[in-house]
Amino acid sequence: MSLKIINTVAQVILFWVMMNSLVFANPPTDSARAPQQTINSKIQNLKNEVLELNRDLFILEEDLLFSANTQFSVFVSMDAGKLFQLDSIQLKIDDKIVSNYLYTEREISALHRGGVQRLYIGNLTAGKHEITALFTGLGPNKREYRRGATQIIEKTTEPQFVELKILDNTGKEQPDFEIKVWE
Amino acid sequence: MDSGILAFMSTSRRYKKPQLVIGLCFVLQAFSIHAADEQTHTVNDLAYGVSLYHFFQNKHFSAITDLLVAKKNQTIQTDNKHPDLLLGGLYLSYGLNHKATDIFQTLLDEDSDADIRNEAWFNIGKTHYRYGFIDDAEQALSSVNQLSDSNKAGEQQFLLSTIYSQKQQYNDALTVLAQMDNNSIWHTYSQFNVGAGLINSDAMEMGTNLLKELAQMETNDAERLLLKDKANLALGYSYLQYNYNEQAIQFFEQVRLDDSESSKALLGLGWSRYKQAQFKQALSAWAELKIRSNTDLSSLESLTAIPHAFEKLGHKQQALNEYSYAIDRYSAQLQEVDNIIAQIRDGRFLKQIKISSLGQESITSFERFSHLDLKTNRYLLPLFTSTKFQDALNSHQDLSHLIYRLNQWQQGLPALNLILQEKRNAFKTRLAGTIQNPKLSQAESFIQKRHTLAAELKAIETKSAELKLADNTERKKLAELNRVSSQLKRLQDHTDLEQQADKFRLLYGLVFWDISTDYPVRLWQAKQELKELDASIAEMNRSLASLKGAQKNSPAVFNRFSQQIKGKDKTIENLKLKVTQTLKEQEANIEDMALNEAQQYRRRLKLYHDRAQYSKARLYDSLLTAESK
Repeated sequence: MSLKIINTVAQVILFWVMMNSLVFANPPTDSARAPQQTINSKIQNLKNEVLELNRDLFILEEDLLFSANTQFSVFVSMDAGKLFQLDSIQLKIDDKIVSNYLYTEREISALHRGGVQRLYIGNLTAGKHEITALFTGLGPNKREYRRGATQIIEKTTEPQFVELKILDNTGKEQPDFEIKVWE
Repeated sequence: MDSGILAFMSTSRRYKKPQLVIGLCFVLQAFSIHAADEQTHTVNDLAYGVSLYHFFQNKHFSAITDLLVAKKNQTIQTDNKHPDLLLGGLYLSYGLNHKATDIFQTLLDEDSDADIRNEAWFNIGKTHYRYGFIDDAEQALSSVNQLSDSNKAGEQQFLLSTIYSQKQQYNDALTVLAQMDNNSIWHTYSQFNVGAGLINSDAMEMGTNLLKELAQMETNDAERLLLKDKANLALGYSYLQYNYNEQAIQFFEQVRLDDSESSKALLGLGWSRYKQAQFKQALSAWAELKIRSNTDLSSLESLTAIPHAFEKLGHKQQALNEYSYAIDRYSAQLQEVDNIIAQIRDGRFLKQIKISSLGQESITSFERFSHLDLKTNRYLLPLFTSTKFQDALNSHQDLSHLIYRLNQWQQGLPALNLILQEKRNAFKTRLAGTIQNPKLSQAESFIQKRHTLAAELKAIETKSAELKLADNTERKKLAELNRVSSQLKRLQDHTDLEQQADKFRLLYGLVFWDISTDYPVRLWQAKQELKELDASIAEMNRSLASLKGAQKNSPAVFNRFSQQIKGKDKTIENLKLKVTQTLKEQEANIEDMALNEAQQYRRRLKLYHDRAQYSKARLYDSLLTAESK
């Protein structure tokens, strides 16, 4: 076989390599996936086992730390959030600071998309209590903005949930901050 | 930074926009929960919202835990979104496709409404497709009647058309394509895949017609521009394959020079010119490739194609120089790839990946590779961007996070034990003390007093005994008036007291008037106070019952807590061992994948290197022979 022919054959082979990489589909084959499949099944089982353990321990921890009759949780939600760019929230119960939370961009984004953050969980005796939330961030026109919301709540012997709502008041072009007690 | 590296760094963990990776590589979008950005949100369910909060941060483990806890505690209040649909989706995002499929299957068994059933079929189809079970995927996706979300509807049709293409059922694929919304990006992807599949199956005319529509489309959208380039490239190579070189050139020339496909287009353009004996023009296309210092096959191929064209032009000395240059480039790259192989073998490669992700629940590609020298490892970029490798890395990260969680719980269990002990102590001292407090025994007498008061009030109401509701001042006045009345009676035979008697009657009448006119109000107030007293007694009874319940049940509850903590200790230890072992296996798996990629690249490089050396020797030989003649 002449050298010229060998060279040409090599080029044709390479050309076909290129063609195949462009046009042919490469769906995963069972044989290629077999070892990974085994370890994947193992990983799936382990993830599931740890998830179930985590759930049980989570419930155990909450039951131990926060009895049903004193449990008190505070959540944060946001509607469109165009008029207020949240930086941090300070939460006070009966004038005592119980939480100071500084938000990351990812957390803000999660709130914007409809997620709800559990800001605080603790114990509170039955009776009247004053809840104060201080919101810090940027308001309309990117100006520094600090606003508080206060509400007196009546804690019963049932677990109680309070939602801090950040709303856009489009009429006033100002953000609104509300405290809602869930029944 | 290399544009390939930049593109790679921008890929996210599991939520990719649809994209064509290379040629006809079918794309799959991971499960996505579409939140309406820029819209207002009303929270209907806190537990659901908290789970979403974590999901939106790619914290799947936390999101699933939140939902599982809410389900177990029954705190989830179903709103318009089915929580099981979310849970199934979360499992899918977390790589638990078996669990996800089970949940979606349950939704089909239930009396779910049509929307839920369609969503469930859609997700089952996607899961099967992702794991390569295309017959099952086809069956599930065909069971979807209608999806309310237009994006999901587009994706469902895209998947179906892709499956039909893979099975070479092109009539079905074309039917689905015809039903799709022309403006949807899914339609564009489907059209490319079906077109490329047809060409691949020798239905050249039909295939090229579909691709030509894409190649000629007017668009400014980055994703569509990329598909347009892909279509031009695929058409170029298809025509080149059948020696329609002029047409091939036209398509290759349409590919944007700054696009990731441009290297392949330049190579194809060179070959098209070459086949038409336009060697100078071929050289100018390949020369552009030569100065690109990237690592793709097109650049490597151009290094040997250039001297070959020079030979054709009769410039043998220049060809010799170019072969030498190619050999040097290949040798240098072989050295670099050998270094990478050494790094993979001695564990440095894995270490660089591990330190970025250890223990974190969610990590971006940028964070994951922040400690890896991407310039050195640029030969592995195609592997890094592959779904298979990304999945392997995700699993590795998930396992690392599981160990982190298990360690946290292991360290936290003694604290839980301590809290339990404190509770036991508090129970022994405070609760026992409270139960034995003598004041508690007064509870019964309070209740008795309440009953007496209630009976008295009833009697007052029945007899309309207004004076019984007199206040203290009025009582004093009445007592004074009674004393005066007695005195008047005693003195009535001795003196004329008519004037005093009139005065007495007047004063008594005034006091009685005040009391009787105010009687209804006073009676209402007394009843209200009795109600408040009843509420207080009810609260007292509840507290007493709670105390008694605590006294009775607490020891059993404490024992249950104690048993749970004790049992969990062993479970954590066992799981830690298993996860650690699996993590090691996964690390070996990742290293194998990297090693295979590097070795495969090395083999190709070696082939080019040897071919260039061979050609150089041949040319050198022929020059010597010519000289000797």
